[in-house]
Amino acid sequence: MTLQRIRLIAAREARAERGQPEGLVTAATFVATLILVESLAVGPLAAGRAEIASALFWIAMAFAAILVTGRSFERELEDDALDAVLALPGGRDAIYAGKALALAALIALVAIVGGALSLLLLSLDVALPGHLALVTIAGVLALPPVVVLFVVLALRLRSRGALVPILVLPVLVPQLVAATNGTAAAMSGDMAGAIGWSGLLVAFALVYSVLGLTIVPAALE
Amino acid sequence: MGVRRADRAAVAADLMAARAVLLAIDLLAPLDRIGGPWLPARDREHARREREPEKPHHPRVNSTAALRGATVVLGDRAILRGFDLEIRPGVTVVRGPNGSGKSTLLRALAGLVPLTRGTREAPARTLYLGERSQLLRGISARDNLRFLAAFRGVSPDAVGPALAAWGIAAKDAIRPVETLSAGERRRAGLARIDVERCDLVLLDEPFAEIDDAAATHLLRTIRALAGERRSVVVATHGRFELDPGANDVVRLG
Repeated sequence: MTLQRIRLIAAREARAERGQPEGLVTAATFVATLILVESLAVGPLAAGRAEIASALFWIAMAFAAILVTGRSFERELEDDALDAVLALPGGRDAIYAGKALALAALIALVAIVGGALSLLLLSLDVALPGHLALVTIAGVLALPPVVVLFVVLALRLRSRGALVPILVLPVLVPQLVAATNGTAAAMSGDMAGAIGWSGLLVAFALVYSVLGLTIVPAALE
Repeated sequence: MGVRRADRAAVAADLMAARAVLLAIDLLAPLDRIGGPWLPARDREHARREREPEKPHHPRVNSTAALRGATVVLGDRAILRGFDLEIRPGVTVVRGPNGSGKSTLLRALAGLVPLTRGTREAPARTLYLGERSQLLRGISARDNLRFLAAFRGVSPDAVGPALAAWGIAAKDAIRPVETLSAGERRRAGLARIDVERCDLVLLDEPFAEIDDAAATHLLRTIRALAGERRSVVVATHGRFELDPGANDVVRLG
């Protein structure tokens, strides 16, 4: 039953995003612009290096995750839609996992746009494409559990729009380091490195998911 | 001069530190409900109650829901203090001036605000309709109601007829809710009463934003629910025609 409720929340989120795709469009545009501007700022030669290119990509993805999640919860607060879910039996427990799942899918779409742009604009060579996909999936899974948790904690604060990035980004540093190193490893042909960093990212995702599932039901009041 | 500048710098630093402390307190407030050894005894007791699984609903004789000794504190203000209320089948009207705690009382019954003290008993099949439509923007009224029905484990087949009964045409029911007027959104939200068929229905200012036809339909619906021995709690300023048929009129403030 809980899995069914999580699936329903995720489907509701995906459908709302399809009807009102501002969050997704803003995040994709933001990622594209950021990658372009950052690559111009550091210069095409430097931006083409595996470590720099992957760092640019994951910094952009972290901001995109914050944007998409923030927009998702703003939509919930309009017309008090969140209350309807929280007042349902099991709503409080399902909302975190459902949101994190749906937002991971949305961030994956942004990652596809950002990744394609990075490969094209920076003329990157990828030694291990399969491993690059693995690291990207692990990185995408590692972001929403943290971001959703902090967005929920700041939900009742008036200045949450400004505060969430300030609060989330320091916590995301380990994930960003792992994702950057894993991506660079996949691009430069270091198979063991790519797998190792992917494992670490999955561990981060699991730890923060457990934390979120514990904290969010009580915090959502 | 130099001393004054130094003083100003010190004051600014102190102010910044004070703001940081206030922000940290605000952010950590939700964590208080998790419980833990670092919490004061009162909060630990509250957290323990929060963690306890919801007790099966064994209403006392002729009672659907109840608040016993309920205290609700929002910010630094006690909105309800040691409040007792038994909800019986039929209509209960909650009246009171603005800020008297009508909405908080309904939210407490719905389990949407934590009780600092006291207990809450309510059936699992409780429907809370707040002051706004509670419909998610980006999706249609029909899909909103179908989703909420599915979440509750109720058949979504009743959604179409219920929306039609509340005056939402089929073509409007499939438009994104943000393209409907405020009154239409409100009526679509009220259609949940017919879809979810709950034992306890909590309505916060349900007559706001709706036209006379919808208000008449709402009055009829409330009386029909009361006739089926369901409990309806209505927090309202107007519509005194509800009072004569009400089991109880609760006055706050």
